[in-house]
Amino acid sequence: MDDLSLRNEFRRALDVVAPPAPWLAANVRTELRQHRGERVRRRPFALTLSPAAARLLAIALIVVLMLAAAGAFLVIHRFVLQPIPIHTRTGAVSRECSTGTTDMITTQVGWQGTSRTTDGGTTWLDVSPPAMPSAGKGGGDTCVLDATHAWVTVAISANNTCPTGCAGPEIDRLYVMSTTDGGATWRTSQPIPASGMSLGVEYDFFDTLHGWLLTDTGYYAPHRYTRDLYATTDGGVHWNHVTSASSRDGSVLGTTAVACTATGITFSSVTTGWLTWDCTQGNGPGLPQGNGPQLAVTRDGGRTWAAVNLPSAPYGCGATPPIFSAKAGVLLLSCQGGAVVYRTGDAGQTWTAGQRQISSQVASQVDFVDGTTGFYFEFDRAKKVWTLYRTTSGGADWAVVKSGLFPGQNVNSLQFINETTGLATVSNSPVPWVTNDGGKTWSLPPPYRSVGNEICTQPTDPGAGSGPRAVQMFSRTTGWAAGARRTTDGGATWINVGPPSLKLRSSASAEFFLDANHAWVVQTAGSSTACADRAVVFSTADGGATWQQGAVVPLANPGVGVWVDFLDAADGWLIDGSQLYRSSDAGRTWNLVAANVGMSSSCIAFGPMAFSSLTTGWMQVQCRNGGGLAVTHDGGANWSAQILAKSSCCVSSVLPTFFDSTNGMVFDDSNGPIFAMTSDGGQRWVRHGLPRLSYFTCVGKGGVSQCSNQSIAALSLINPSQGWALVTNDVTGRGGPFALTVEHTEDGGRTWSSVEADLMKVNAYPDPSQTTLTYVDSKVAFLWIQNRLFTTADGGHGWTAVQITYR
Amino acid sequence: MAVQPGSLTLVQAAKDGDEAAFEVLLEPLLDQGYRLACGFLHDHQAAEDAVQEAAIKAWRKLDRLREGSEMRPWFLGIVANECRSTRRARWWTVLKLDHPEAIEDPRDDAILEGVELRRALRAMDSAKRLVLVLHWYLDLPLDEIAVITGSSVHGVESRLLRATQELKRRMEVQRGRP
Repeated sequence: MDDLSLRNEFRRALDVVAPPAPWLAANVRTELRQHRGERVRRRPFALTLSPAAARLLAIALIVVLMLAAAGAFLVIHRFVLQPIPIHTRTGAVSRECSTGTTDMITTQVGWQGTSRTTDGGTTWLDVSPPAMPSAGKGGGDTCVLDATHAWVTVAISANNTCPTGCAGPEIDRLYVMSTTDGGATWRTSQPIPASGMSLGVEYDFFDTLHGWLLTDTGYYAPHRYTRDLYATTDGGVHWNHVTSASSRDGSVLGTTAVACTATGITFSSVTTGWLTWDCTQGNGPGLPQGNGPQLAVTRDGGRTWAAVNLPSAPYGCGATPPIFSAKAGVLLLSCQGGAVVYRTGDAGQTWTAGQRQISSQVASQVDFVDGTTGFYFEFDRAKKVWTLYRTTSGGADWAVVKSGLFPGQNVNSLQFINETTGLATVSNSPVPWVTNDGGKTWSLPPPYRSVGNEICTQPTDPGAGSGPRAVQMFSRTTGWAAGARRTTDGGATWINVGPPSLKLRSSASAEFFLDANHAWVVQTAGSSTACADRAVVFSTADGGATWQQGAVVPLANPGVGVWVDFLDAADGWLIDGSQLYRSSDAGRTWNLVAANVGMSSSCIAFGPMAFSSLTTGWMQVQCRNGGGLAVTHDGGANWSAQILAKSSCCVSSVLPTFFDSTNGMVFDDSNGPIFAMTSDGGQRWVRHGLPRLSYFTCVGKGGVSQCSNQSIAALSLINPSQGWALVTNDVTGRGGPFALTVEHTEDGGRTWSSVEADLMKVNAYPDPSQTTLTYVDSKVAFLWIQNRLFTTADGGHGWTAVQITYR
Repeated sequence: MAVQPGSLTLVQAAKDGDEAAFEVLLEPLLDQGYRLACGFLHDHQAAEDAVQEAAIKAWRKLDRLREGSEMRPWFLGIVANECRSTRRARWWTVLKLDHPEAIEDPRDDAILEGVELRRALRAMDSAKRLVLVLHWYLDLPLDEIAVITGSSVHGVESRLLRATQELKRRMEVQRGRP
């Protein structure tokens, strides 16, 4: 086979398992937004570690990893990718307990493994049992029966090794943890002697007391393993051995579906149970045996098992455990390109295949409420919409409930709590969509909102947290912080003085604090036809005691964001990514200045603005080939690119700040510190000096370069001559602790001298973007660093930590 | 006014916490990341999960992307790690495909060969499988594969040669050829 043939064969073989996923980008965006703020900003190692320190750290890491490996444990985890969502056994319906994916017991209460929600999936609380010795917390194989009863397996492995031919690490013993109060407390079972190479565990509870647990242990290569069945009658505390079967003893239990993947076990009574396998997939190097799904039944509580014939079963399907209500039952086979529903009317004595293969993408898009009534979603690839079907005959026939649902999205799972109330997990939504009319109409639970297919993002409080962020002090006593928090006692107490929230409010917002009393807050809001289509500017001239609501400003690019800047108490600008508005009456009315301020079609306004006069201002822009600054000299009608300062590698795009209409400064430490000033309103910028740092030669992946254990975390000037810089120093060169010092200049940065300060050391690198140094005059200053506020009244010699009350 | 952190490039903007810039950087890579994960896991749902998880990790670890480094091999390396983790977590338990591989018509050689290649791939160790998917399926150059796998170009060449030979052997065995 030549290279071209092999390449073509790869495409042919792998394109089949890589179907188009047009929703992936939207899913990733949604996921990222849910994890916004989780990134830990840290200093690059090349700047903080000397080669010797790096070697020491590497050795330490190796030791830690070896210790972790030696003490590693094994948690039994049965993986069934998106199985049919499982309900509790209400009434006469019997089905396998929920095994780890999202399972809503009611529209409000649900489980997701050992996480539990009581608010419809908006928030999930980890209710995992406490970690056992030699085992980690969570991660086991869950079995959820109802809102309060759940179990999770924990396997203990003293030797987490996998010899040649094994299919998994060797375990020593198995435990089942049980809760009867929704995870508030857990009870540990007696150990189950499941020693050996564990290949999988399946278990199920018929009710709160009766349960069964099947273990496969041994080796797949060669096929030599043992199946053991245990049963409990006390809710999982004690497990009694029921039967044992070997792959070489000729028994049905021992020889059925050797090397196939078990997909579940379910008991429809205390005597009748069902085991299912998927023989299109197997574990370990041994190939699966058998043709298609495998089903076995016991009618004596698990002592003996018989194989069940599913007539006309297509080749290459996987079975999932059956669901029964009285004698009626259904069983789903997931096959290539769709699924087949088998039904029984005699409690599983005989099975009949549905005439139609339902073309749902995955089994999780199919759900049966009981042994006869079920639903499934089918994707129309041409129209990229979903159709919901319903059966009341165990899959013998299906009727359309609703077409054209969730256009362009992926329905990940479907679950009906009863015949009318159902939930669908859809790719673009943070919480499941809900129907209360059997699937005809779907909506998001409040406070979420949708407009057509678009999920409106929720507004967030930029000041959320336990302390102030982006602190700006304007006097010895008064300052503002993100989220319209204001202090009037030198930073000790912060109170939210923000304006009321608009109805149908959207996520984009902006705020600007001009001085101790003047501030503006921009909120965006939507309508019945748009998530966000307008902005409203609130203004205050009395420190937030009262707010004036301005006129509605239509938005052109609400998804990009909004930014606001005020030159003085009357003159301000508002931008939404391309449209620039101007106000000369403190934000009450706004007039369009320019419809496209991005310099060209390939750029958008992408950040805050800074105006130094009624005509001159700067704005951050983002273009296809990178970001930068744009400047206007005609009040915003026309913009052009401008470079204020350049480091050895890069151009700074930090906005300048101005002391008056002519004198301004810009400081950027993102690519090595640069400091530039202007004295002509920003026409010409001159580099100024900064405190001298100590550099040493270092070698990184990029080659030889200059590194420093020092950095300038913040700079504050009260006029063009007098300023202070906060310098951090990784004194040991090992990534902390960091000593903080203050440097002072009285000649615009030409010379710097150390201020004998008694600042503390901090253990972690102080993120410059979260560090603010503000000198309000030559004596009084505030330092906001690592969520703590310090103040000085003697120019920086003595610093006092401020005890903060924040709300 | 407080000094605002700024950015020159999208990478710098993203490093500064600009999520939109990060999305602009990431989205062109999602398709290749998804195809890599599908080729590795043979399970498109798990592949989507792996890519989503990789995207979140990339966001969290963006500070580790060195100046001048290419985003694509860095991100695909994270996807590959995520796939390995996914496979490790599932290896000894149940691995179930959403689309079990049916061979409805054994005369359909195209389908049959696809099944054989996938089975052969699944039977190989993850390091070999990764270079095979990166080279033969994603058509990536060897130097980029070296970055993704954290090895030298020479090492990738050797591993690719051995893996390709092993893959062909396994496929021939399945076809009943010597």
